[in-house]
Amino acid sequence: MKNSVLLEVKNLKKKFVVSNNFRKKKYVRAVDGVSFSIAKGKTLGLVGESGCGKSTLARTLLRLLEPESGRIFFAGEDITHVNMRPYRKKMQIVFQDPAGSLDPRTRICDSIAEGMLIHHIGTSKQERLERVLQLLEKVGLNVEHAHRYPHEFSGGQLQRVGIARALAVGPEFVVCDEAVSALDVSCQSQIINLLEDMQEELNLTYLFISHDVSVVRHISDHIGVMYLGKLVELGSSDEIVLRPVHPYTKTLISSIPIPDPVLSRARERVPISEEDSSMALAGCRFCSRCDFTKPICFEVEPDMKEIAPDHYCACHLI
Amino acid sequence: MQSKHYSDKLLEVRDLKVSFPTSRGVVRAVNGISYDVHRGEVMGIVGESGSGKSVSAYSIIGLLKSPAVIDGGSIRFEGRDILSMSRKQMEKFRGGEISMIFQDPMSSLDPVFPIGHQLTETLHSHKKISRSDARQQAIQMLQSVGIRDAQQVMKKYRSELSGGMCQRVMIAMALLCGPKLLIADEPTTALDVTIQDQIIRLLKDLQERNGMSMIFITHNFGIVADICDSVSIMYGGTVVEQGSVNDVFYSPLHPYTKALMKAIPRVDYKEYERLIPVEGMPINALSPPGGCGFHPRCASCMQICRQKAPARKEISYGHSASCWLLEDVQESEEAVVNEK
Repeated sequence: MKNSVLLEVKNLKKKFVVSNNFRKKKYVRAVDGVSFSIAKGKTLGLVGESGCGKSTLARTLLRLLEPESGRIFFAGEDITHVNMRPYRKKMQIVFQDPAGSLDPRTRICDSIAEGMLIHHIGTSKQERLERVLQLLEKVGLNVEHAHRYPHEFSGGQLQRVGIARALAVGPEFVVCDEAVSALDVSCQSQIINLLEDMQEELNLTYLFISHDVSVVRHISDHIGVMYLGKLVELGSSDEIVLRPVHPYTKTLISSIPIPDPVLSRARERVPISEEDSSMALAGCRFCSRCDFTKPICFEVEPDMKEIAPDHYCACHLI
Repeated sequence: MQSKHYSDKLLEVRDLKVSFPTSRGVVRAVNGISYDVHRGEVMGIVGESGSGKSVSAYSIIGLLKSPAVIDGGSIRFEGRDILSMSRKQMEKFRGGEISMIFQDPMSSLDPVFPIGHQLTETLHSHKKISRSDARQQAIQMLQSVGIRDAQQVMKKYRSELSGGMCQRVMIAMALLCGPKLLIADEPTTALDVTIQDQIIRLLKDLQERNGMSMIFITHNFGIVADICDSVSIMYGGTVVEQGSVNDVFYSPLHPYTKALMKAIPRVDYKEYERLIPVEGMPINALSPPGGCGFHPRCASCMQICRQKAPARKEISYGHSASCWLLEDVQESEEAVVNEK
């Protein structure tokens, strides 16, 4: 993972004000010191429960939200405080709800071409339209779809439009924020395959966010597991799924129902306490739900340690 | 795991048809479906959005909203015809004999009344019961769905509870009057995986303890494999395949079922395999294709598939599917085995 790193994040933090009484401000630490790197052409999957900060992390590293502290490096350059204009066309995002991210009153060809217009890609309208048509074919839509409005498409087709829109400016890095979660099973696999094809063809680098571990394992080279704003485990997909170390990862992996009656009923579950998302002030964030706590877990926050080659985990038990 | 055999039919749905007249034409959401639910059985209904799985469940419990119209068929619960019941009868019936839990627990609870009030209200509307007894029963029920500080939760409002807690409260509410059938409409879709696992195990546990039947509507094959005894696969308003979970998962008959099995990424596979998606788009409800609804997306579509809808055919005990490939019984059964 060391060579040809495209994106690197170091100790990234982002907090939001949740209540603002006279003198006392209350914060939620949505992303609290996350570090990782993604090699060019690879996919990092990010899993975790809702509210753990997956999307905030993605938005912060794209600088759609301003980070509190920490650094972001893109292709070796520090982009934490620079003007993002030149980087926007290299970093794109595909959202969960394709219908919500496209203007209902704009034809999809114009939606796709808008990014090109802003970044001065193509000299004439004609040239841009040709590129849009090429893109549409690439993502599996027809040329005649170009002049339609979003409401004329199905969910799966709209996600294809969303992908075409992201690819229009020729990015190197694409964030897929729950890009297949809203789709039906049969469409989901189509879009997963499309994303894989595009990665191979254009040598794209993905940050793939999803709560569905099965999908993340399928598409990712590495998986990061987030819990309440922190990465608790990071490693290759097979390591994380087959040899999880952190108690939360163990529970998460063992909770996934397997579409096979015998295997699904035979699988061993690792218990977890009832949800209690109250954040401890000191110590490990997971300690209130963990069944294996030691006294140190309540006092000292664990650091990421390398426990096997290319497999990191933050837990005192290891 | 052995597939169970049931003798006692609890619910019998026959040739149910539901349509929605819209300004752009009639949408046939449910187009002649039939299934049985036996006592103590957990039946899964799987399908994509718009396949009619929820609409069929809503018609059982009499919650279809206008403009939906039931065009035909019958629903019998313990021999009684549900569709001909009066509104008054239905109100007694719903919540008493059949209960339902919904996808979004947050929006199914009233935000302006405490949880306890909503639970006891259910009891008062079905039974003659004193206030303190109702309260006692509600607390007991909350404890049985795994809520430890039930006394406290009774006083709380919806907004003070997490999604998983809300769903537990909803389950408690649904089970208060001891229903014989529980319909669960995607009860875990809005929840995290770890919580989802807790909730489905709780449901299975309660179902076994009370000996009630359950219809579990979902699009997640994993959950079906986990807790259901039998399963109906729906596509475009019809049931395309039906059978015990073992039959349907290990020897699927219908091309749609087979295709779906290959299209879902599995967390437990050993080596990377590219997914084989179901090609094409979901059915357009306003202009469904003629013949078999699945033919435009089917890899082994034949001439007859475009012209006539196939009839349900039982291949082995309790395992049936609607597909023309099965009609040439001997040969096509061979073909199915080979393909696997």
